[in-house]
Amino acid sequence: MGRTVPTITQTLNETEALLQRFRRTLRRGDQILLDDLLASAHRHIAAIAETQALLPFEGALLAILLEQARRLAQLEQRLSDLEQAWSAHEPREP
Amino acid sequence: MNHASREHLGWLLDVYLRPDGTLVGWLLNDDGQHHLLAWDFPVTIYLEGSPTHLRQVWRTLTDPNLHKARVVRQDIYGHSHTLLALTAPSPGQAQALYHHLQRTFPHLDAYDADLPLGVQVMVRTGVPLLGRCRFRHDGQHLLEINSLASPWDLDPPLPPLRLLRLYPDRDPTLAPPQVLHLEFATYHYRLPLRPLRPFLINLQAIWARCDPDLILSDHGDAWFFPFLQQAAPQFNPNRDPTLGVQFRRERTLFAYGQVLYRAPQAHLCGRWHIDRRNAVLFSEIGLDGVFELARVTGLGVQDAARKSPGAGITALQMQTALRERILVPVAKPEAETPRTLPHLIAHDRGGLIYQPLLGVHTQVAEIDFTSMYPAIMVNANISPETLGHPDAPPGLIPRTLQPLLHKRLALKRWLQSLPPQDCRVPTLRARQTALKWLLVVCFGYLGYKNARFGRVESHEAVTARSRELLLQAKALAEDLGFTVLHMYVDSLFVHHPDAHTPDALTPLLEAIERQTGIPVALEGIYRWLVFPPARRHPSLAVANRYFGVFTDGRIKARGIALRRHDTPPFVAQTQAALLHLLAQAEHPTQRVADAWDWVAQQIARLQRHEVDVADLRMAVKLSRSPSAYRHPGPAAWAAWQLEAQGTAPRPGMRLGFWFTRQGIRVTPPAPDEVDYDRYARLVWRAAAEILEPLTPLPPNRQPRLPLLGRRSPIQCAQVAPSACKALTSC
Amino acid sequence: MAQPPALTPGQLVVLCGGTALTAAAHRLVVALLERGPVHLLDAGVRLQPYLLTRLIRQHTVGVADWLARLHLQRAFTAHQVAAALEALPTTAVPLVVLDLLASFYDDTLPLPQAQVLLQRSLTQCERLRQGAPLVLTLTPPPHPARRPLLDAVCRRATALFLDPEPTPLPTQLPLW
Repeated sequence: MGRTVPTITQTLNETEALLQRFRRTLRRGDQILLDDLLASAHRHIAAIAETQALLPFEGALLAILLEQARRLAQLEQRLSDLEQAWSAHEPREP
Repeated sequence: MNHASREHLGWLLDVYLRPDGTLVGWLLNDDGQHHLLAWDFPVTIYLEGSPTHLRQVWRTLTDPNLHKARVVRQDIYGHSHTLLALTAPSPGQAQALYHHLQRTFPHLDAYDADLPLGVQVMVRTGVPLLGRCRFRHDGQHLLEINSLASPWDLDPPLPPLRLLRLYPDRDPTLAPPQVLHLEFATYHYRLPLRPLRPFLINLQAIWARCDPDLILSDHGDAWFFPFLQQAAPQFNPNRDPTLGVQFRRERTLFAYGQVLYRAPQAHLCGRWHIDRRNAVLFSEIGLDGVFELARVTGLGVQDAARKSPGAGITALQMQTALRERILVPVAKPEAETPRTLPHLIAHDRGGLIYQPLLGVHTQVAEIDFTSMYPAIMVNANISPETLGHPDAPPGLIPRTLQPLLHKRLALKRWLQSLPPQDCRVPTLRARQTALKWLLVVCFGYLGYKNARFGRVESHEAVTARSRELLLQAKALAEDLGFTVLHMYVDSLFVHHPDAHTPDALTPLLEAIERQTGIPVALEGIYRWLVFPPARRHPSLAVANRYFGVFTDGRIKARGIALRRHDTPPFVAQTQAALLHLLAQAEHPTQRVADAWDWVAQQIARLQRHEVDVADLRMAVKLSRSPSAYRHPGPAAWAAWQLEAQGTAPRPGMRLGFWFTRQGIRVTPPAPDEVDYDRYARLVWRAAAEILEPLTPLPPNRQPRLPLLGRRSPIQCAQVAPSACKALTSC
Repeated sequence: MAQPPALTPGQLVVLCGGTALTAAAHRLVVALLERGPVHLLDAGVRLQPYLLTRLIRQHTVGVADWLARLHLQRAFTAHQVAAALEALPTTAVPLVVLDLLASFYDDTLPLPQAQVLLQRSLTQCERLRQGAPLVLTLTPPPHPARRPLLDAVCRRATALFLDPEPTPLPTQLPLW
């Protein structure tokens, strides 16, 4: 007895296997981007499991969006930091 | 008092059956005398079925010593069952009766029919195995016994035991032994096995002189006692002359997706035999732990050493049931309650696993819930009969676990109060570890299909509660400013820039304990901790895979090569040495260069053939019969070689072999036959597992293969995982 | 199996084959759910919940509505299979049993007991198919000693399908 329902990890791995023909047709650079996207879903396995969704891929898509939002936020912060650093060193007009 | 009877104080060591079914108690009195006493011990089994079948049974059984009655008893759910009660004069006769009825009346359900002897004795007399007692006998029969002990005593006095160590000069699965070693007290005997007659004469003389209570052997189950039986059938190593060695045949079982192999067993009567190579947890708990298991569970010492902890927890549950006159079914018939698919998806889940944050972290506290699942079962009153009844009194499972939890915690606290060099520490550690294992498996047995008192819904209720409690702990940690780096079922890894000492964690620990109701302990604060990347994708870490060093210098690692059973000792030692090297630094990256140099030295040792062949031995589990492999790997090749040599490997067995230039070899090769390139790749891969996440080695510094010949760089760390796998496959 | 068989009360349909049977059985369950309630007894850990939901999603967005018609039970031992069948009422709701004999093949269950439990189970199947169609899936035994169990079930079948045709490729990307 005990668990018979597959884990979210197993389910996502199965979904990725089903996407192999899609992946194969992409350019190499895009394949790497797709791998990154799918990997980012794995960072939130626990949260996806907590949704108890009948179709876990919906939760996986939300997790992927979350990671994209995080990267965006990090990039915006870096940009802001760089702009501040630049303006601190910008030569003053005589 | 009858003037022919004598009374003693002593210990009840064990119970067993004579061929006629009589129960025998093996007792040791305070004067050092052993007594093997027949014990009047009638046993009742219960049958349930159609009235027609029960009447047939009644008419069939004509033995006047067998008492038959119609009774009503209750099961764990409080449901009444009308049963045919059959009381036999001895446990052996009851067992024989049950087996006979099982064959001739398979339609009937049986209860209380396969209870371990020690469990029955413990419940009826209150005397635990290895427990102090007062007993009266007439030289042949045990007349009376009274308990002076409890299985829950924290510091029970142990009987003085005469211990004989016994081991051959070589592994019998690889080559026929030539010499038998025997160690007793300060004596060490070395007996050549041939010629046979002098060997047997010497053996019998030593046996009689030592008169051991416990024989601790290597390969005693599968080799020594079968060999002795064949070579000297007239020599009885038992103390009980009415019985020969009790052999149990080997078994292969399939459970939970795993193939398990149980080697043959040789049990003694009036003495104990434990084979260290065939004892489940022996390396971790030793004799002290085995005695603790026997004392608490009621399983005899020889069974407690060999059986899985699951048998122990089952025995404990049987004790509770028997004590409270709850029927113990032989087979659990209840099916799962019907449900919907969304309900199944929502509830059929395990513990919470929170993906780790990849990389190197400093000042990480590891917080563990103490016996989380058993504590949940007790606190939330989770038992098959209490589900859906929030106001139910404590159920059978919590009642069973409560004293076990209490004792384990008490032993743990006692252990923590002692200085590390206290002589009591090893014994206490072993005993509390033994109890820990009982607690670890009790959850699994709640959901195990063959468990007498298992129910999958209660299994699910425990994991649901555990997930909730872990989320509560996470929230508390974050409220106090901690970052949660990783969570795994019953542990959290948290970081706070100001939490340098255990005292700084106290508010968090207290808050978690207060809110969840379960004790938590600080495993330690890591000076640094690494969550390495998954092979599959370098931006992902893997749950429960990490390595680090605590501020007190202890190293802890999970999920890496040195923790895996199939890693050869040399590779494991290399990885362990790397961890020790890195542990000397405040930050692991400070010693990475030295670590890579060390790896190069280890590979150079391989190149120079300086590594002991024994340290290159692989050990892989045979998952199926050799003929069933479609794509044979190393295990299959090793199994075929063993078959060719006349050994019959069974699924579930762990097979040893070496990689040689001619392929797989199951016998130790000569040094110049070893495939050192293969082992170099394994070393490199194990090193990369630790060091790549810290600082990858530039290509021009990587060792080159083959070690002797044309040179090309090892690309294990840089290639795709599938290729990496190909490098190490057969 | 491109189309599900026309199922009527009184029928005992037996599907016997390897792992390819699982997908066929799930498609059959979905086809039955389209028409109404279904009892499903998973006797061999064959149920793939997410496969079922994806297959339903190919027919409708109302996955939850269809799943509300599915009454599910798992049995992990032969005793539990017999008990589960005994507890089911005789109704018009079709019953699908996945891998009925899986636990009967267990080496730790003596063959005489397995035969008794199977007899009990088949007696219940006879009762249940009076009201509704019954579909049983079976896998072959791991060794010949247990073959009589498979034969006993196959003898009761009103329709017997052996080694079903390979699962056709999905017509759309089955993410949902």
